Amino acid sequence: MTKRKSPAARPSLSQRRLLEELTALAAAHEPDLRITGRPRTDTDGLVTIPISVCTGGTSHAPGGLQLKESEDFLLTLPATPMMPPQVRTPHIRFAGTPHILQGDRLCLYLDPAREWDPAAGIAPVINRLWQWLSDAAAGRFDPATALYHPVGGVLHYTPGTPTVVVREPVSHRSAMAWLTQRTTDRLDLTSTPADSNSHRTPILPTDALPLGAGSTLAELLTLIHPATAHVPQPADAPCPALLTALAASALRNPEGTAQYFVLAVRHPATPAASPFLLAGRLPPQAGDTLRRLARRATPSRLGSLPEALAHASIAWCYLSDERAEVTTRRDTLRPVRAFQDCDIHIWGCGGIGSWAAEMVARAGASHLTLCDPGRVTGGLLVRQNYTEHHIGMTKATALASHLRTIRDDIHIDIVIPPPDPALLTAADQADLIIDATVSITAGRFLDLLAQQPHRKAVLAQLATDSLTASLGILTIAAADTHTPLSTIDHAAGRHVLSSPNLEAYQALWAEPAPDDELRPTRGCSTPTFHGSAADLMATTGTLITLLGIQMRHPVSGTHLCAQPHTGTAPAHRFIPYSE
Amino acid sequence: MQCRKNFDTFLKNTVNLSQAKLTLLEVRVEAIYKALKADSELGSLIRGKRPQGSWAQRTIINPVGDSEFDADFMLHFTENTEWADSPKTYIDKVYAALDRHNIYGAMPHTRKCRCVQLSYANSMHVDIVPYLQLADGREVIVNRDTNTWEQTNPAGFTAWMQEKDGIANNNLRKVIRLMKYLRNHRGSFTGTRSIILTTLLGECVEEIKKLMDPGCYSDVPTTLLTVVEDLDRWLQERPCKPSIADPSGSGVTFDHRWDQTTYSYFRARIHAHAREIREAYDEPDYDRSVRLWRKLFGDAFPGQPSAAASLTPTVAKFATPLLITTTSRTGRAG
Repeated sequence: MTKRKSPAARPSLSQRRLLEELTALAAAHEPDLRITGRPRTDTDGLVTIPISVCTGGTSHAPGGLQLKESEDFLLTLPATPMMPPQVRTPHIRFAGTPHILQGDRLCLYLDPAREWDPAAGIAPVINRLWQWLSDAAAGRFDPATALYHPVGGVLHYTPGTPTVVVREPVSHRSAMAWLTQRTTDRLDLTSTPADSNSHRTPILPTDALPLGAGSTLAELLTLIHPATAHVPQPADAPCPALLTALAASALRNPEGTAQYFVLAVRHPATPAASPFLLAGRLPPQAGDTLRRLARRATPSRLGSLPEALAHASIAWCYLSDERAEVTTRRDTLRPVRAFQDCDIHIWGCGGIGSWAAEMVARAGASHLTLCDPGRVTGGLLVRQNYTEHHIGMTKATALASHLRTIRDDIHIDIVIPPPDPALLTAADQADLIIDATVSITAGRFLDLLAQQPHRKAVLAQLATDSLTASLGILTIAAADTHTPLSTIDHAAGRHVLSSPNLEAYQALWAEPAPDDELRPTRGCSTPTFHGSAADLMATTGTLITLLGIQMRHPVSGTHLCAQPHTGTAPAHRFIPYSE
Repeated sequence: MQCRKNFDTFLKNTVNLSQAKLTLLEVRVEAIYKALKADSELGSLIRGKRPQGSWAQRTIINPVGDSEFDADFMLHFTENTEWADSPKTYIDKVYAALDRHNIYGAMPHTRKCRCVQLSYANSMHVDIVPYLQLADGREVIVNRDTNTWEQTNPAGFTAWMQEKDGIANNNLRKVIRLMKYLRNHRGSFTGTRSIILTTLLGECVEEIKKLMDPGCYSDVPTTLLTVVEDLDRWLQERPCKPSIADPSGSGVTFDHRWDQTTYSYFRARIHAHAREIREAYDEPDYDRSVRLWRKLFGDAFPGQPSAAASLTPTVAKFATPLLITTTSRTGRAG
């Protein structure tokens, strides 16, 4: 009996279509593009076809990728038409070039979702390859910004692992750090233990890893220092040092615990810059093996990788690199940046104040002082920045607890509201006082502070309209003026009330009509305004942005603004105050 | 100018039926209902009551001068199969029950086409409208003149009104009141029934309009302008009387409630009002704008001091030194 062969896998319809397009394209562009072999379909349904691209005429610039007269590639067509084709080299000559992944894959698409159209066929893919080769040869790739460039251009992440958060500086030297579990999904890396449950975690410096960091300890050691796993190395070689550091940490961590480590990878383009960080985890069994090893021998004498550890798998953790030296704040060019490192008072933590506080906290204010003795009730959750957890707490206390969940490093004080005498010096110390109370008493107190001789703070009042919460008013008293806010507001009111084109804003200086307010709880609540969370977040966001614009060079006056859905024109008007 | 505050005052002091009268109405309707429920012959057939018409839809306005104001309520009956061939019996029986009553019997009460009208000495009457849900599921009221059922869907109409008023940021009902004021107090488009006016105005209110023209229903004067101009455009495209369907979805139309002459007059008046409203709204000078609004609504439209006066204290019984207040914070929230 002859053994029957299993039928060879065949290209799918979409793959056949792409192959036909590629054949036609090569025929039309001979010899620039050639198909150099037959397509092969593997068991995963991937079709790979060898191609050659003529690169002889490509412009080369110093530092650019050296290309031959023609370059060979392997073009892989995924089984599904919804994934982009991949291009690999049959060599690792390009390893270390930006946008080369693990030595042989070309990163044609930084963001395939936005750069690749599944319906566009093969021609754009080949054009993309050509563009990639032109850019690489001309040295147009910036290795400093190439994604994951120090570690082979790929994300090292094993599903199911926690995220490691790094905020403290990390140097190029070996160091001992500590990992502390913050939540089931988060571990914080710090230079000192945060609590008794913090685990020792070695930081291990290494040169760039153009082929990636592997998936087992043996692979990692080989990639860091080829042949480590097989040839004895001197005691001061980097790989024994890595193994020694792992063992030394494991020895001091509890039995049965996984052993984490952090690789501080030198950036090939900027070796002196802060290292790129990778966080890895060895399973508990490997941790226990390391502990036994360390007990038997002095860790520094460990010369090679024991067999028991050779195949220990490494789970790579997503590393949230939040070190200041490698991070650009997402709001860096936005007006709210003016609040960074500021000392800010927020009086009134209601519909506007509760959102304003969160906005300035997220913007990087270093110190907040909150006051609002009002109590959080369920009805307020419709539009104020509180949760079920806060019901029953005073607003200032609830808001402080909420803001502390947003920022670990923010300092928050809670004070008695004005006219408490303790606030008389507030304007001398704070950078900004925001009054969001709509309280005449608070306003009068602010007038008093405006006239303090050594006032440092910019004074601001924020409010919205009671009918829609879609109009906003921001009154500012710059630090260099002693004019009370009430005077500035009064002047703005005169202007608005006599300007027909600002009629929509006149409600801000007029008594509300009966329907302009509502009683949210029959017989148990004073009238309040109409407004949703969407209204208040949007209006507050606009007011805070306007305030941010003003903070660098404050000019006393009044901003009026309206959300787009109100149809109010003008949607913004600044009425400067002149003495 | 919009003169929004003037409209607030105008509605509150002139157009709207006062809260005192609304309360009186509620009290009286409740008393009538109790009396009919207690009637030995009719009481067992009565299942409930619900306000109807302008009272139910909150579009009721003050009557002209000393005229009576009226309100309708539906008297919900259990169907009596013995009266199935003569729907008008329900009206007759209500009339008879009032006749028997020791108080209402002595008060003027008459049978109308769809109701029994009970008049009070102090300028009001109540229309009692028998209403049933027939065995076949139809909701009906009685037409006594033709001795037939008329289909109705009060809940559907209420839902329609709520939806339209919601789209218009609760300004549609106020606009309907203003337009009824123009008809009743200013003698414009007389003959156009409230139900038709309400339907036409309400059908002009559309969600898409807010997307195309944000703020078009932001306040009373703006909603008035938007709705009347939209209605004017719609009417100008239709020289002949169009069919007006009951928006409640009852399946009936209101076509029999007006004729071509009344329609043409209404169409012409709305065309004129749209122009007048636009002129008053666009006028940038406050005093001239108020004069234009007064030209439309009459001298009852308040010519209150311009908004600039809001910053100066109102005359008080006990004079205080003039202070610059922090703000008139009353229109603000935070």
